[in-house]
Amino acid sequence: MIPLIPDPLKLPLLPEPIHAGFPSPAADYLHEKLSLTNLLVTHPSATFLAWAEGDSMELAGIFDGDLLIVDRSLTPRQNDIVIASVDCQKEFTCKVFDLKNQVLRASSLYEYPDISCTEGVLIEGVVAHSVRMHRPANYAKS
Amino acid sequence: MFALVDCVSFYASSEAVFRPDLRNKPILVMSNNDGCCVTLNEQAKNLGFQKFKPFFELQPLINQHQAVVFSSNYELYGSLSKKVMDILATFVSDHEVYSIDESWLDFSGHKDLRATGHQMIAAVQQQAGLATRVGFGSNKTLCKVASVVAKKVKRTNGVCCIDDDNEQRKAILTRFPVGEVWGVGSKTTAKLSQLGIYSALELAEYDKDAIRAQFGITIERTSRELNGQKCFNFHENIVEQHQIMVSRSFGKPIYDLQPLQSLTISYLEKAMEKLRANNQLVRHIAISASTSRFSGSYRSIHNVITLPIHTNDTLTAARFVSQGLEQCYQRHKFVRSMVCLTSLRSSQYYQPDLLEPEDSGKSKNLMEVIDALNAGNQKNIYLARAPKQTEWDMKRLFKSPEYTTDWADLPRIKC
Repeated sequence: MIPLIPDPLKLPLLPEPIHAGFPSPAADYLHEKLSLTNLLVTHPSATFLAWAEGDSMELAGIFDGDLLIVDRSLTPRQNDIVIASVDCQKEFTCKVFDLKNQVLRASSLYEYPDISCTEGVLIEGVVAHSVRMHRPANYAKS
Repeated sequence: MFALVDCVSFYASSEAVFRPDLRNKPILVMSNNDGCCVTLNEQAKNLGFQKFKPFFELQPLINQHQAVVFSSNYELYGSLSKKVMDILATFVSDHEVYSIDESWLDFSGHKDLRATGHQMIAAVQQQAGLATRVGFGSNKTLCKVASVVAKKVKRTNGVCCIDDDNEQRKAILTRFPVGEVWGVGSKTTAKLSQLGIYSALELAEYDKDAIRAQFGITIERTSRELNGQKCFNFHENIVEQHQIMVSRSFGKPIYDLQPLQSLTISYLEKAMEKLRANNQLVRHIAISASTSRFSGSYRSIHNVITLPIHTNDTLTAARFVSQGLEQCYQRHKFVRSMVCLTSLRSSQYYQPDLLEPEDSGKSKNLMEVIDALNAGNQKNIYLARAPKQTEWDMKRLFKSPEYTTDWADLPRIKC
């Protein structure tokens, strides 16, 4: 299970206190933890994770193999990066949402056609954050 | 007022959340080991598919309509269920999860319930991608009735509210078959029909003493709830658990005693874990193993084991179950076994027999440690004779990816 909450990844601010001698003056401050999940997942029950595939969003900072954090509860705004289903295709697509012109655009050095938001296009969530994998993510099928 | 919210064709709908291409297609979800169909979506129902039919009987219809078949993906359903329950919980101060796709919500003091119902449906649809229905009522039984009405009557748009208006309640109950009332089983329905009770309203208006004398206190309370009284509270099970059953079919047939014993003991471990979670003790254990129902000559073996004392100790129970299975064993092509704990007592009020050997407390400590290690459906510690489940694990040939619970299976999104 990939728990969004509670968070297994708690990074202590300080190393383990020293066990002998003078008690660490920082001991009382040790319960402060940084949680990446709390930072990146604002609405746990509306959030899902996904892997990015392809090069159409590279100028927006999303590369092949990056992790997308998709929030389904957010209302898309102008130039938000969104996830959409297009004409009942099997896979979702990730594009920049031009709200004013009702168009989904790629953000890439390469040419990609615009997708106009007609009946078959359904915006399914906003990519609130993405995680750049400077080295490939290391996961094995459990 | 209370509400019951349930998800529409939950397993089948869950399969389409991350597969937009399936949202208008007929979807079937099969049971453990892909034995028979357990959930259909609306499209599949309209094409004439039926629940609980074995796979091979459905095969021609599946081919004809290009229906999509999935094995049960409990990892996916469990995680989506949690999302739905969390979304619903934000609407009220108290809620009670009733099953994987149903939750009771306490709306005491709230106004404008119908509008809230539609807001809940919209929120779950947007955030989790699943359709729900809402039944409001002044008690749990009426909520259940309202939820069935919301399901069957299209113009409710998924929200039905049985309020304090007596006329409206009666109009609904008079058309509502008594057999569909919450907690009324098929045997009770047959007995009620002998008294001339066919509709929910007739049960509501029948003499309470007569109902109690013939059917017991639970049906009497049901009858009172149909009348608008509140009898079943929040966080109260309608019936106290009288037995705990764990039954599974095997991934492949078993002939020999030894693997049969070890697999049955792994089911016993699960049952005993539930027993301890309920704070109960067991005295009798029924075990059985059977061959396939679809292969001509159906055979089964069974035995009932009496334990020396009421206990919740897995080790003791496993020893007796192992012996009990050996006593009744005959060689067959077994595909399924079952463990059923009966004669349950609350461990809180249990009075031990004077002649019983005194409990040292060791067993209690050991079981607490085991339960803690295995918390959250993990299998970190188990009896040496129970297999770690690989060879006889469930067959799930058509299982979809674990979109929400496995890094390797997360949805891939075209960029």
